[in-house]
Amino acid sequence: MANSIEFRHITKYFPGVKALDDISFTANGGEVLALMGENGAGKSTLLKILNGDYQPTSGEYLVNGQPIHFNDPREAIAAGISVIYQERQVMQQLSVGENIYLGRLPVGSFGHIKMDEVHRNAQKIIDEFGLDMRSEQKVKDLSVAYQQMVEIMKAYSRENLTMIAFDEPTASLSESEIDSLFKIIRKLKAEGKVIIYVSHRMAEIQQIADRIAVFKDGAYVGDGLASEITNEQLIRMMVGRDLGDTFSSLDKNKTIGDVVLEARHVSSPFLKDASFQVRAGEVVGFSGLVGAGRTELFRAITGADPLTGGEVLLDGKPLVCKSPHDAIKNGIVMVPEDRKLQGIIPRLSVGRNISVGSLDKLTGFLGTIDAKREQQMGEEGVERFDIKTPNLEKAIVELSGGNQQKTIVARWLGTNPRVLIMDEPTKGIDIGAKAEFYNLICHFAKEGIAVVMISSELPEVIGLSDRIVVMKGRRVVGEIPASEATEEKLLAMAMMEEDTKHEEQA
Amino acid sequence: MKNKLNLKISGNALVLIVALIIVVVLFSVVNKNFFTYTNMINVLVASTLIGLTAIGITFLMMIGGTDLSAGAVAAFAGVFVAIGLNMGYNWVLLTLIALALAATMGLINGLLVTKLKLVPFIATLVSQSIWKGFAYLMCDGKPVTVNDKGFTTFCKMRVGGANGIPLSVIITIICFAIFAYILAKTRFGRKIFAIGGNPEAARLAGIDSQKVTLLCYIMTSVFAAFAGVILAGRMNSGNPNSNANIHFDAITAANLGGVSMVGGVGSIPTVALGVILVQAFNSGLNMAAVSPYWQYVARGMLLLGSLTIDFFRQRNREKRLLEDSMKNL
Repeated sequence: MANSIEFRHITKYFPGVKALDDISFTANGGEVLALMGENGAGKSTLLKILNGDYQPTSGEYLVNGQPIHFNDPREAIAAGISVIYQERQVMQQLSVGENIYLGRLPVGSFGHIKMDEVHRNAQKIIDEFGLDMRSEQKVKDLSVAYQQMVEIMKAYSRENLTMIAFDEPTASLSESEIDSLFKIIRKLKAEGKVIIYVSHRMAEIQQIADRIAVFKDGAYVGDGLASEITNEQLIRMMVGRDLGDTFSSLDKNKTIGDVVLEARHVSSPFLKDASFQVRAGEVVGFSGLVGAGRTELFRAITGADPLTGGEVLLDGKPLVCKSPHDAIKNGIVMVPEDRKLQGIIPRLSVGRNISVGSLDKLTGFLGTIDAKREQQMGEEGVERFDIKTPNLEKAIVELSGGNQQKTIVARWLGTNPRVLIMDEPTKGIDIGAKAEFYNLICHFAKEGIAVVMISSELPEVIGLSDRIVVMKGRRVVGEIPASEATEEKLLAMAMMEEDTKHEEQA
Repeated sequence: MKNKLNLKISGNALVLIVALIIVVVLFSVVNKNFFTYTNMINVLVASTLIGLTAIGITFLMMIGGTDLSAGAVAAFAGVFVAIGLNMGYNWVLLTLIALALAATMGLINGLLVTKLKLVPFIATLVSQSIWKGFAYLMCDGKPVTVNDKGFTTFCKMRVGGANGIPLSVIITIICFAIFAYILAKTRFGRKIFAIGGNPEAARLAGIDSQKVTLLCYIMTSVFAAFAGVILAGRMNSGNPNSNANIHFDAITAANLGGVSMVGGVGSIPTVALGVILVQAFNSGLNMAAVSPYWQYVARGMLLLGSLTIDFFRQRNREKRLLEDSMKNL
C-alpha cells in the first residue's frame, strides 16, 4: 500500500486564536511536498498536529487512508510519523546507535542491553546512508549536520516509517552538508516515504520539492508543481492579502523631528553590530525572517538581554538599561512578540493588565494603589484603543487575540513613552483588528512618538513605515525608504543571498 | 460583572464553609465535646500557628514558590526564645531577635531561589534540614521549659475575661486583615499577582521580581518564627519537635483557600477559612482519638483532595476558554 498523509478540514483553536482554519491537503509517498508561508502562517502548528504534539479541534487526520488520533508525539512516532525539528532532539551523551534505537533497545535475558546488536544494526543504516561515522561514537562529538542525520536515521530505523517532515532543516548546514541531506531525502523519496519539507528558502525548495503548498494566516492558499510555479507566483501567494486600500487611507501627515533613539554598533550574545536611528514621529519598520535578530536587537536595547558591545543613545545621550524597568523609566517601551508568554498576565483583569506597566505612577499613601485612577486609566485605554470587553474586570485571557494585543498596547501607552517598539504587533489577529492597529500606529507617530515596528508581514512594513531596516543572520543588512520598497525587494534582501549566511555559519 | 466576580469569590468561600460545617458536624457526632465554646476557642488558638504561617505561604505560593523550612524556622525561634528567657533576657527583646534571625533565614531561602536558581522545593528542603539541625543543637534535642511569667501570661492572655477571646487569635486576625489589604490593594500585592500570573511578562513590564521574591521568603520565615514564639509561650516550653508540620498544614490551608499551586490566584480571606478548616480537621482527629500515624495519612489525603480539586478547576477553566474562543472567532 502506498504511503499517504491526509488532512481533512483540520481546524485548530487556541484560546483567543484560530491557528489553523479548515486545512485540507494530501501528501503522497514518493514525493517531496514543501510547505511555505510567512511567519505565523500556521506551518509549525500544522507540524505539531502531524506529530501528535497538538490535537486538532476539528477535522480528520488520515495516515494511509485510515483516520487516526495521536495523544502525544510518542504515539505518532510509533505509527511511523517523524518530524525533524530545527533544534536537535538527540541525546548528546549517548552513542549514535543508542540514539537511533532509543526507547526500543534490544534487551537480553538478564535485562541487559544487547549493545553489539544495537551497533551492528545501527552501522548497517549508517552505511546505507553512506555516512562517515561509527555507531559507537558519542553524538556530542558529531557535527550539527551529522547530529541531524542521526535523527533522520532514528526515524528511518522504524520499519513502518510512513512520513518524515523537516522543519527548516538547512538552517545551520553548509552547502555540502545540504547536498548530502538532499541525497538522503531523495533516497527516502525513492523508497516511497511521504516527505514534508518546511523552509523559507526559495532556491532550496526549487531544488528538492516536487510540489509546493502555500499557507497564509492559518489557511491553505493552494499548491502547485515545483517545476511549474515561479518564485514571483509563490511570493504573491504568500504575501498577497486583501487589505483593500487600508494603507492608502492611512493618515500619514505628520512632522518628523529629531533623532530620539540611536543604536551604534550594538551587540549582544544574540546579535552582531547593529546600528540605526529613529526620529520623533517616525515609523521605522524592521523586516527580515524569523531569527534574523530583530527582536534580539531591541531586547538588548531595552535591557531584557545583556548588551555586550556598542552604545545606545537617547536624545543624543548615552543610555544603559540594565533591565526593562530602566528602559520604561526612560520612556522606551516594547510590546513583545509573544503575547501569551511575554505580554498578557492571563488571570489578571483587562484593567489590571493595563495598569501593571504604570504601578509606580498609580501608587499613593502606604503603597496603596489609587483605585480611582487605576479605573480611569483602564477606562481610557479601553475607549482609546476600542478594546472589546464587557468590562474592565474581565480576565484578559478571555478576550480575542486582537483585543488582548490592544490591551498590551494600552498598557505601554499608559506610561507615556517616547519610543514605542512593537514586535509583530499584528501577529495572530484578524484582518479587522489589523486595520485598527495600522491607524493606531500612524496616530502614535503623529503624536511625536518614535515608533519601531518589527514585522514579518511585508505589506504592513511597506504600508506603515517611513523607513525600513532589513536584518538577516543577526545583522543589519540594509535600509531603504518605504517609498522605494516593494515586497519582492524586501524578500530578496532577507532571503536570497544564501551564500553569505552559510559561510558565516560554517 | 462586578456581581459575578463577588459571586465567584463567595462561591469558593461557600464551599469551604460547607466543608467546615460537615467537618464540625461529623466530629461532633464522634465526640460530644467537639462543638463546645471552649473547644471552638481551642481550635482557633491552635489555628493561629497554621494561620500566621499560611499568610506568608500564600504570598509565596502566589508567585510560584513554596517553603518547606517554615516548620524548622518556627521550631528554631521557639527554642531560641525559651533558652534566652532561661538566661534571664527580656522576652520582647528575644522575640525581636528571633524574628530578625528568621528574616535572615528567609533571605537565605530567597537568595537560594533567585541567585542560585534552585527550585523552591529543593532550596527550602536544604534549609529545613539546616535550621532544624540548629534548633536541636541549641537544646540538645530536649524541650526547654519556660518559666518567665510575663511571657507566658502574654501569650495566653484573653481579651474580655477568663472566657474571652485569646489575644493570639486577635493578633492573627489583625495580621490577616493587614495582609488581605496588602494583597488586594497595594502595589506590592499587585506585583505578586503579576509575577505569579506570568513572570516573564511581569519582568518585561518593569517589575523587579527578584526583590519581590526575596520579600516573600523573608515574610514567610518571620511569620513562621512569630508562630513558633507564640506556641512556646502557650506551651511553657520551646520544643524543637512541636512545629515540624506547620508548613504542610499551611500549604494545605492555602490550597484549600483557593491559592493555586501554579501561582497567580488567591485571596487572604478564603485562606483564613482554609486555615480554620485544616485546624478543625486536625483537632477533630485528635478528639476522635485517631492514632497520630493515621493522622499523617489523613492529612496527606486532605492535601491530595485539595490538589485534585485544584487540577479540575484549572482544566475546566481552560476548556471554557477554548469554547468561548470558538464561539467568538
